[in-house]
Amino acid sequence: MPARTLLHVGTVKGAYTFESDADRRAWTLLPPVLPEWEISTLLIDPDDPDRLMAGTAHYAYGATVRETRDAGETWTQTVLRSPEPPAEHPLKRVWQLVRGTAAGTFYAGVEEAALYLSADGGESWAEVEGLTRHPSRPHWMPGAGGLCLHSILVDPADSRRMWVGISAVGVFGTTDGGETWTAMNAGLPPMVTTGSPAEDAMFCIHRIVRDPANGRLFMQFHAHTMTPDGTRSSGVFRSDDEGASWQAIDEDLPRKFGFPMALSERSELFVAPLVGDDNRVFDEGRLTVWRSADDGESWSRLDVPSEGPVYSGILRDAMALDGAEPTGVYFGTTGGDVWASPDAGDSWRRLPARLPRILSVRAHTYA
Amino acid sequence: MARVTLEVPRLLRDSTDGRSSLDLEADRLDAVREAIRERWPVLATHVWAETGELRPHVLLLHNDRLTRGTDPREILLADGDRLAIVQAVSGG
Repeated sequence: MPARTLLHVGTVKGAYTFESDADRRAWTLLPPVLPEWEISTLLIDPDDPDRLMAGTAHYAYGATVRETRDAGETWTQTVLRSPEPPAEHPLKRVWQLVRGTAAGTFYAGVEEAALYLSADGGESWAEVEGLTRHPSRPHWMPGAGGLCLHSILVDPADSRRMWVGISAVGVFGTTDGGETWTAMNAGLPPMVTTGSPAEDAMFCIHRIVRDPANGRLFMQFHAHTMTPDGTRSSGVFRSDDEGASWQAIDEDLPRKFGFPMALSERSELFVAPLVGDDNRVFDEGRLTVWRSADDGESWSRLDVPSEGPVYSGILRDAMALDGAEPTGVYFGTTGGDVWASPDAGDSWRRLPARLPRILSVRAHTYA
Repeated sequence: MARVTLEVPRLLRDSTDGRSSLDLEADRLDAVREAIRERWPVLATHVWAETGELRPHVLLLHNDRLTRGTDPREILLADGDRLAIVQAVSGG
């Protein structure tokens, strides 16, 4: 059977799938699924192209998790939490779904910030209360998108070792399977410098990724002033000590603010900076992705050719890589355009559709 | 116990195995929530917030009358009564 690449796109109204071959240059759009639902995040199965899990929500009817095992023909639906007893932090949206290290385990990151674990293949879920009970919790502040747990990293070599990212709170790590968590934000610029009752948990991080080859963590941050005189601002960081401390790696980047970040199996790191906090669109209407092949020490500018200026943004879950070689890079914009590169960002094409506002992108090449 | 029917909007029928109407037994409206939670927990999640109140943009009609604003314990049900879940026209 020839290789097949699937690109799943979650939007504010439905999920859309593009299909291509291993060449990844000609794409076909399949019919939308769940068209009335917001698809806030997606999880593919690298071993089964017909299986897809989605965080779904509706402004009237709330959030659940849906899963298909027949390429969208039929869906099952699960609730993350029973309505009894009432929770102190209502569940508004599922921001991230990831597969755990142990077979059949899944994690879900939600708004308002909480982490859920399923140990039975997604049939049922339980809140990881060790995180929710963190002493800083009463002081957690939401970002513009809400108080969301948007990044979940599980150490493939040790299922008890994890990191999560929460906006606008920071990174928390556990080494005991979620029983206890430690804030891991040393070196990041806080939202305010003094006066917080929880100074280790006021960091507006937008995405974290981890390189399993060397354990390094990378972060797309909100971008804040690093110095009292305001002369230097940083938004992209790296941790060489498993999150214990962070160093800025964005000296080459003209814009520091952004949301998505993606890391390939060959340690290629991709970011897509925007103008800034008050203008969350590509700089001067030019779609630009930056790639680093040396852990952020230097960056290459990758221009994405558009027919005219594109004053759209890109959200944190809307960039993905496909696991093939060379790396396929994909992103969707808030304007509903999907862009694909079959060669690690050296060349790009806009896929033949204009979709609703794009929230999530996932891709995989199946052998 | 009164035997009543509950109309389910199309969007929520994947929470009821495709059923557009559910047969329920309850004497008061507050017992309807309990009956749905027990038999159709995913549907209940979509209709009621975690506080136990109806979600802000969801209406529950009793014989075509709005029930929001009335204590559900005070709404008595009779055999043949019709209930309906309706999305409020509040898209903005």
